[in-house]
Amino acid sequence: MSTLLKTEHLKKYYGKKKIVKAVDDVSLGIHAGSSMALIGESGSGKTTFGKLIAGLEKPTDGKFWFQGQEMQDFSEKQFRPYRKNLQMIFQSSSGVFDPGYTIGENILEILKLHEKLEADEYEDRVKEALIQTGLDPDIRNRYVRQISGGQCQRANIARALVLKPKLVICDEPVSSLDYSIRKQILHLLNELQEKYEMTYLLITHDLSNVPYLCKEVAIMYQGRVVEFIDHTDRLKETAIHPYTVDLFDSIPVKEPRMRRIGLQEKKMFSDTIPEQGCPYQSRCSKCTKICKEQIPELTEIEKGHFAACHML
Amino acid sequence: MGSRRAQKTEKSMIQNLYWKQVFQSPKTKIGFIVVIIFAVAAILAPVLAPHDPLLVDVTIKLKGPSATYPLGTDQLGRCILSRLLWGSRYSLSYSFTVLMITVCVGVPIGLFAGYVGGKIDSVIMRIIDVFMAMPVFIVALAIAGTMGASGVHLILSLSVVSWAEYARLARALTLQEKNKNYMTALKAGGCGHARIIFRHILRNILPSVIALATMEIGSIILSIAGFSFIGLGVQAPTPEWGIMLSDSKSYIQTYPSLMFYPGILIMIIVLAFNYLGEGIQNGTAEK
Repeated sequence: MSTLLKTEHLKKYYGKKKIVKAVDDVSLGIHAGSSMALIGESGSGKTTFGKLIAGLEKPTDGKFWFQGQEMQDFSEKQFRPYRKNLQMIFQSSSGVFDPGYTIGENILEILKLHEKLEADEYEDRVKEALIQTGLDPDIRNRYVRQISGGQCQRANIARALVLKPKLVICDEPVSSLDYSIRKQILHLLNELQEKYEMTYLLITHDLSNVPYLCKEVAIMYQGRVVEFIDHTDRLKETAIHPYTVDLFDSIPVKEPRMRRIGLQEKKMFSDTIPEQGCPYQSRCSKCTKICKEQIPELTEIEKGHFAACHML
Repeated sequence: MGSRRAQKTEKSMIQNLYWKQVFQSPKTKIGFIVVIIFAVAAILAPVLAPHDPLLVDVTIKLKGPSATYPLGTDQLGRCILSRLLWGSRYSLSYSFTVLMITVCVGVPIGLFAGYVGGKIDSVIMRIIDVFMAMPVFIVALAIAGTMGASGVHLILSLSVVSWAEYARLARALTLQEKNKNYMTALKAGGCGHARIIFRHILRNILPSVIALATMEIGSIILSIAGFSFIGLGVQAPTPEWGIMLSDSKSYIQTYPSLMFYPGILIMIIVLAFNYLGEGIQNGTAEK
C-alpha cells in the first residue's frame, strides 16, 4: 500500500497576540484504499486539519504530502491540478451549491475545470454521478432551494465524486441529516469506496459512523492527536487514552447501573487552555504532576495502537 | 430541527430575481408599461413629432390646442407636443447615461474591495466615504462654474457623486456572498478568483444592483430636470422638460398649461420608475 497522504508536524495557529492552536503538531499517514476517521469534539481542530489538506488554509508550520508531492507551500494555482484527486464533501450540503445555478450546472462547472471532454460526454458524466448517488438525473435541472436535505447531500457527494478523486475529505457528511438518511448516505459512501477504490478522511464527532466506513481512527483533542488505532472493531474496548475513554463513556446509556462518570459529570470545557503540559490535564481524572509540565508524546502501546498519555 | 430551519433562512436569503414575482403586482405592471411608452416615444420622437421642436414662429405664440398644434404653442410659437416628445429623449438618455457610468464604475470597485478585503478595502471605503459626503448640488455648481453649464457637465457631476453608492452596495453584497459556504466549495473545486467574482458573485448580486438602479432613475430624472430648471444643466433652447418648466415660469398666471405638461410628464415617469423599482426589489427578496 502506498501512502496517499502524509502530514508531518502540521500546525495551524490563529491570532497574533492570543494564539489559538487549532492544529498542533499533527503527523498522520493515510494509505491508498484505507480510510481514516478523525474524531474529536467541536474545536478540536479536525475541520481545520481537513481544510489544511484541501488547500483551503495555509499551514503555519509543518509539511504534508499528497501523492508523494510536498504541498504545504503551494500557491492556489499550483494546487489546482491536484484538486481533481482531492475533493471535499462539506458539512452544510445546501450551502455548497451556488443558488443562482442549477445542481447540474454547479456540478458541471467543477468537471469542466478539470477535464477536457466532448460536450455530450460532460452531460453523461453529470448524469452518471447523480445516478450513482441514487438520485434521479432530472434533478440536475433543479435549483438547490427546490430539493430536500437528503437529496442535497447526495448531490453534494455527486459533486465531489464526478471527478473520480483518489482522496475524499468528508467533513461531517451526515451530521445535518435525519437518522434514516444518515444510514443511506453512509451505505452509499461505503459502496462508492469499493467501486472506485477511493480513500476517505472522515471528519466526525459521531462515534457510531466510524466502524462503518473507516479502518483507522485518530482521536484529536485541542489540535493534537491523542490516540491512534489502526482497526475499528471493538473500538470502545481498545481505547486507552483518558479522553477517548471519556468520549465513549459520554454516549448516553439507558440502564442507570451501567451509567459511568462520563464527560457530563466532569468539567465540560477547560476554562483555560493549558500553557504547558498535556492539553487534557484540566479534565483528566488521572492527571498528575508530570502531566502539568510535559506534553506527552504519541507512543506505541501495542502494534498499530498509539496514545499520548504519561500515565500509560 | 435547528439545522432545517437554518437551511430555510439561507434559502430565503438568495439574491435572485424572480420575474414572475416582479410582475405580480399591478403597480409594477403599470410602471413597466408607462416606462415602455416613454421609451418608445423617445426613440420615435423624430417620427412622432408633428413639428421641429426648435422652430420659432412668434406669430403663433401662446396658442391653445388645435389640429396642427395638438397641445398648442409656447411663448416663442414652438410646438409643445414636439418639444415634449423630444424632451423625453433628453430626460431618458441623460439619466441612463448617468446610470451606466455610475453602475459601471461603482459596481466593479465595490466587488473588488469586498472580495480582496483587508487594507485595500479600507482605503477604497474611505475614498467612497469622501464621495458619499459630497452634496450633488455643490459639485454641480462647482463643475458648472469652472467648466460651464451644459448637459454633459451635468452628467459628469451627477456621476461623480453617485457611483459611490453603488460601490458601497456592491461591496456589502460581495462581503455577504463571500462568507457563504459555496465560496469555500468553489475554491475546493478549483475555481479561480476571476471565475468566482464574475460567474458567481456578480451574478448573485446583480438583481439587487438592478433594483437600486431602477429606483434611482426616478431621482436622476428629477435631478436633471431640477438642475436644468435652475440653469446648471441643459441649456435653452434644447427641448428638455426642466428647461421648458423654467421658460414657462413667467406665464404661470396667464398660461398655466405651459408648466402643466412638462410637470405632469416628469411626475408620471418618476412614479413609473419608482413602481418598477419597487417591484424588482420585491422580486429579489423571498420567493
